[in-house]
Amino acid sequence: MNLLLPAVISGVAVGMLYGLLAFATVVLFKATGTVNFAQGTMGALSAFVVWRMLNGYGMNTALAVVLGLVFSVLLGVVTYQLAVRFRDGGDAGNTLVRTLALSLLFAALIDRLWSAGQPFQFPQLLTPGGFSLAGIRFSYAAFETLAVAAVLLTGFGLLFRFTNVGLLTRAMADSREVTRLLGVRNRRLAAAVWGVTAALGAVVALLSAHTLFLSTSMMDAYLLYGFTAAIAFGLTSLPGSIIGGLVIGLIGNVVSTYQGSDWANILMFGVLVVVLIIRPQGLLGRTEVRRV
Amino acid sequence: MVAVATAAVTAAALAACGASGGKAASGSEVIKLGQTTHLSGPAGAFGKSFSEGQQAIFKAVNDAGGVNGRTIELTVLDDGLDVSRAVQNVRTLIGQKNVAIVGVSGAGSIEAMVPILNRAEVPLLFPSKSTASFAHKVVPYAFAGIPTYPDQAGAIVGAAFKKSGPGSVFLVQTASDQSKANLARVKEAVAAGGGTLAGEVIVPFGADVAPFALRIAEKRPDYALFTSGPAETTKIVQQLAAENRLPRKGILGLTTLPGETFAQGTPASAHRLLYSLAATNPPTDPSAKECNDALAKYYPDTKPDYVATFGCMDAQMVVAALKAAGDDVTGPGIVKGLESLKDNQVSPLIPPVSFSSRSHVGLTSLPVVIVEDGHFVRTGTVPVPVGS
Repeated sequence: MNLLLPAVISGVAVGMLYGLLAFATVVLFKATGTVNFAQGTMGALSAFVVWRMLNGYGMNTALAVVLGLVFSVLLGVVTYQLAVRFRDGGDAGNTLVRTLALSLLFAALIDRLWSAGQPFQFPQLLTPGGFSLAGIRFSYAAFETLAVAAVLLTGFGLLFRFTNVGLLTRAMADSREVTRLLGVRNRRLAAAVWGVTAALGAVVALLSAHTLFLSTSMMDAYLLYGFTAAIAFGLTSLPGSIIGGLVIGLIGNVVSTYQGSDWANILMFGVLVVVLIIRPQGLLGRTEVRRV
Repeated sequence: MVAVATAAVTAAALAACGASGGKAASGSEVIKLGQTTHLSGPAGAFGKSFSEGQQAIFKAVNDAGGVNGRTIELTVLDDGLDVSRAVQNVRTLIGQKNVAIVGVSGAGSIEAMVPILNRAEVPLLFPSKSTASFAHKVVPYAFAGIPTYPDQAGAIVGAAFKKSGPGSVFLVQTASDQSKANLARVKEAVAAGGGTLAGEVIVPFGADVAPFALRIAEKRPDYALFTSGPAETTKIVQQLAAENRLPRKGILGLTTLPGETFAQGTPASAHRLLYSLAATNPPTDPSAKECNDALAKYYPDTKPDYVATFGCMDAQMVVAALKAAGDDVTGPGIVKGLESLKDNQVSPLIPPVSFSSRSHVGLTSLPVVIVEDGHFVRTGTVPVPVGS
């Protein structure tokens, strides 16, 4: 059995999920200057809500997923409005620590509501099974994961490039003062970005819950790899986040397949350290120049 | 910080409940037992279910008159699977004059507390996990209920070879302090049984299991032995089944495997191949009636699953130890009483147990389970010799 091709395919599929998280990280950072450490637990919380609607109330799967995504958007917006918005013009480290605290808060909330019996089975939202080609087994789910991620990334990429909202978001990332003087309500826009990025986290959680199983910490490793992708390839580069996710997914899965996960992590984080020493803004990021 | 606060509240609530069944002690005499376990954190579900199984039995015993007329009072402290908190808890429990520490878990915590308890002459009774440091040599105040995982791994390989013939074995582990010992014991058992070791993977907790499933699928072994946690095991088996690459002869497991996660998360094709050790008979076995009745009475919200049944069995062993101590319910008295137990049927859920001054491992054979119609069923017992 040839291991390389299946390892590459599964690596690309999981890499797209890392890429989605990295993309959300970059979008939020570009728009608000914040990295959200609560991204993973917010996604997990949304997946728990979907699971509860499915198991507790016997709701139709598609409806539960849609409601779960709506919940995730509201969660993002409310989180911003209640915990991030106030005194957000000061020290960036303060906001960063707030998101870390939010992550612990959401984790505690999940544990408070649904700790007993974790991890839970989660239904496969994608097509089960697969097909064999030249003796190699391919799963439909991997291709569908790729497709969903590709559609979302392309859609958001186009949104940021060609729509007014996208342009304003990018403008706000460049200079909040300028957008404010132009009459843009920065905080309203920031709330929308928090909502959208929370939904992206929820999509990743929902797509991976069947294979990861539903647990409070289910997104921890994914978020770590997503951050790694975003930072290594530049916190200011949207294409970099996607490429970074794919590279991390590929390295992770191919090296894990042949050499074990320890070597994969040594390689990935070793490369991250080297990149940050040689090119602090990330491989595809741009250096921020400030007029003094 | 939030987790710590939650843990403290949970622990306080459980401790307040105790296990006295709300009844005053006969002649004001109580047997004070302590426990530090993980009620919160990543393995909180296991700790809670296990502890409730124990407390259900203690409450039933108390309501039936106690042990030699004395009621059991259990103080439970949460350590969140954190070694330093577990050690602090143990020091607190010793200070509160508990006569024994029962049913704790977390290999690191157990390793750390064994010397402390030994110095204080407070017996550690039957943690849910046994380690070589007190199972393979006699530590005066430490007693193991079940054999160590390496001993179990060797035993189940030997038993599977006898049942279905020798073959290639792929070992699947999650990183633990016993990984090397597991591998060594499996190699020994495979060689002794005329098989081959097809490979080994160590799966990180919470990881994407695809690369590891691929490696197992490539080898397509006769047997896959899972010493990994139930979730990781289930994910890998699920993936192997989806790719029609399940092991040819058997899916082998240790006492960590049986449970709802595996039964519900894997298809019938995998169920047919399962051959696993279990710490107790399954909760659906008639021998679990006493446990199920106690759970239904004292913890109606707790599902009588494998972990809760394991907790019941553990508590029944503790009760047997207290009975064996007679009127001398002190650390030395419990040790003396336990070392006198020979082939004693302390619980209907397990084979008879024996202790002596030369061996502090109670069970030297374990139930074996298979899956029928989605439920675990006991199919016999397998001897598990204690290693050295």
